[in-house]
Amino acid sequence: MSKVKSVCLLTLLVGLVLMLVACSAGETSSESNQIELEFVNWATAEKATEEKINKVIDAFESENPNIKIKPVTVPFSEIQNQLTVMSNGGNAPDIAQVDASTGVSLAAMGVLQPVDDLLSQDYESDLISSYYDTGLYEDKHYLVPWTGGINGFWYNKKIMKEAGLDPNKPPKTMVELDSAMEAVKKLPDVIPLQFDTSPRAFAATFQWSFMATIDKIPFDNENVQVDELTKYGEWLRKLVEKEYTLPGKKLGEFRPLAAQNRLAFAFDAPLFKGTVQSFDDAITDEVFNETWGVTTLPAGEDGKSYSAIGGSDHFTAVFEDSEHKKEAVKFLEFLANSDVALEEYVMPMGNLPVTSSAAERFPELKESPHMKVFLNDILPTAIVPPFGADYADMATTFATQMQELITTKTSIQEILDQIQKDLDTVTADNE
Amino acid sequence: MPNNKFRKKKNNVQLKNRGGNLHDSSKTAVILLAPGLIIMSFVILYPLLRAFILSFYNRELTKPNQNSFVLFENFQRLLHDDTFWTTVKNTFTFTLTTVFISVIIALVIAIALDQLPKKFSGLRGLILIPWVIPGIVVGFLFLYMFDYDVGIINFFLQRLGVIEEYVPWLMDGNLAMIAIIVAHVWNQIPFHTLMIAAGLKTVPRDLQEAAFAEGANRWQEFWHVTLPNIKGILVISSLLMLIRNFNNFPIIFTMTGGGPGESTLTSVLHIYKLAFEKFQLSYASAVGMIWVVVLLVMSIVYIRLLQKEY
Repeated sequence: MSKVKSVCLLTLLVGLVLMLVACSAGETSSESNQIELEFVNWATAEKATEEKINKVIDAFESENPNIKIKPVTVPFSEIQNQLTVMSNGGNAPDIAQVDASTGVSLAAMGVLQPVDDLLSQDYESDLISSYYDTGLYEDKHYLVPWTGGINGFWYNKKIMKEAGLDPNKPPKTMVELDSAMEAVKKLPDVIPLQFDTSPRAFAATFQWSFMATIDKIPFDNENVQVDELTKYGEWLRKLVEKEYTLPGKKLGEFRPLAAQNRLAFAFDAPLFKGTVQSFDDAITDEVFNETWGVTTLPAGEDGKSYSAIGGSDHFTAVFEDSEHKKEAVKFLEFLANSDVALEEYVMPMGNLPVTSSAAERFPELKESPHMKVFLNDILPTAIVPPFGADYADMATTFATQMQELITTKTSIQEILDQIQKDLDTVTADNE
Repeated sequence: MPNNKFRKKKNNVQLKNRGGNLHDSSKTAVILLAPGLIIMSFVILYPLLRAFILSFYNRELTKPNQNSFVLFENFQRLLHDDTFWTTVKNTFTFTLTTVFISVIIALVIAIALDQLPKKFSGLRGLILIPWVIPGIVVGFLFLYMFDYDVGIINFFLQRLGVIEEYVPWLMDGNLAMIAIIVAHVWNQIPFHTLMIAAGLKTVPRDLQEAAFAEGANRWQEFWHVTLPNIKGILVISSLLMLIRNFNNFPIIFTMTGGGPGESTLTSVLHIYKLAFEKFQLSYASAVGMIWVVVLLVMSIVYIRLLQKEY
């Protein structure tokens, strides 16, 4: 009896194993045609964007049933080192969301695939060139623009009114900005200006627009001229001494203050609107538009103002090791230019589209009071920092040492000379 | 005689057997240890060796074509690098101060716990809480506590009348160092407390009672009886935490990122920034090698102290 039992059990076990093997083989054969693309990004890491980006991914997957997107969540602050480690360790993803500085650094490392021959002709010709050319490295394009995030000067009309300023007349020059900050500072608990002074490359990219407007840019691909930035250095030190900003804070750390109506002026991307609204459901479009206006950065002495691309603009990139580059690019084009992506992600977050046709397909873009200003007034003031092999190194050194300027009494010229010396060493290594 | 002969033979056989057993057992030990040793050497020695080799090159991640042998150039650069010497100063200041303050406070807490009746023994578990919280979480906790605008530290100090205006804790070179030391002290006190509390249990009660019987007061008993008996524990736990703090990363990274400027930039943070923010892989390896030597010396001292009898 026990023998019979054992035989039965053994037969059952063998049958079960065979069934499992057959099932798994079936799965393999049906899945063998499906391509999986690993997509490293911070959009799924942030509450404000996670749900929206997942909708876009779902839409792409239903349009392309043979392609599966596997999002790998990495916070923005970690994206550079994670991608550096992954790609140099032979574990590169297929695609990633990057900022300009990180993207061009990865291109310089030789881990990205140029996209010139991969992008469809229609999309390439539709791209706004200032965005597309930001990802240029050694005459090849490595970055696919996703969302336009050029910074504009946001002003809080309610706070301006409270401070006795005309809410419809934002400061037009840096001198006017200083006076406006002085007036606003008198209000309790209000921070006059959002200003990134963290010790990271991103802070240098953020400050780039102010340096270009007030004084001059600190370096380009050939020259370093940090020691001539005295005017900017004095302005920055005064900004902190008079407590017009919170020193050491990252750009994003000011956004909750904006949602609490505690920030008077911000220099931020179009996504400022979506992000501020994500903190508080009560901030509807109507409420936001009543509170915030946007214009170009107050002009410098020469009457010009600039806004650096590469701060809050988001790009995507295809990695050289990806086995599915064509499919990867197909997804990246979908992310940036499909109707679904524009409706579900790009526009609701308040981003600018990166293609010319988007504004034609969605006329409401031009009707939105903020978008109109970004497209017509701010975009023409765009300048591109010299992203390249040394940019991350030089920008990090610069941002770190500029913290000395705002936290010590050391002479401004002495600090600028030290930065000049350090950056000269970086450029000298290349000669 | 025959008896002696027999005994000799027996001894020889025993020795042979013992020798054979010893040989066999060491063989078995080698076989059993081999997989672990191979994995360990791959995981520990390979990166160390790779970093050592890299330190003699001029490899930068963003310049893949640049990879030439430069011998001691990175080490020469290091000698003239102001940032490196700043990190040496910061690392020693941070490490020594943190360990010293932690040990003193832990000593007081451990003695207090030792005096408590048994029903309060649960307190030992409670005191462990800061130790089990991950560094990154501790970093964020203290980042917000020391925040200029919304931090609870400024709020309380102002309410207590200690400060008139809010203090930018994390944006003043000296204050930022104090802030990160406070965070680490809070995090590490439980470790020292636990070690010292265990040490206190080994102090002979009769010695303590004899000291009191001889007319010693509490302080004299502590100084002449308790302290000599827990000296070993104090030295070992301090050295262990010195080594750990030399490598401490998450709390400083989260709270200040090494700033303002370079005022809280410690060695490990400096290496991270060089490698992953500036992509200077070879120079980062050279700096790393210097710290490997420092830590190796400390580890040897630690092992020697472990073997020493107190």
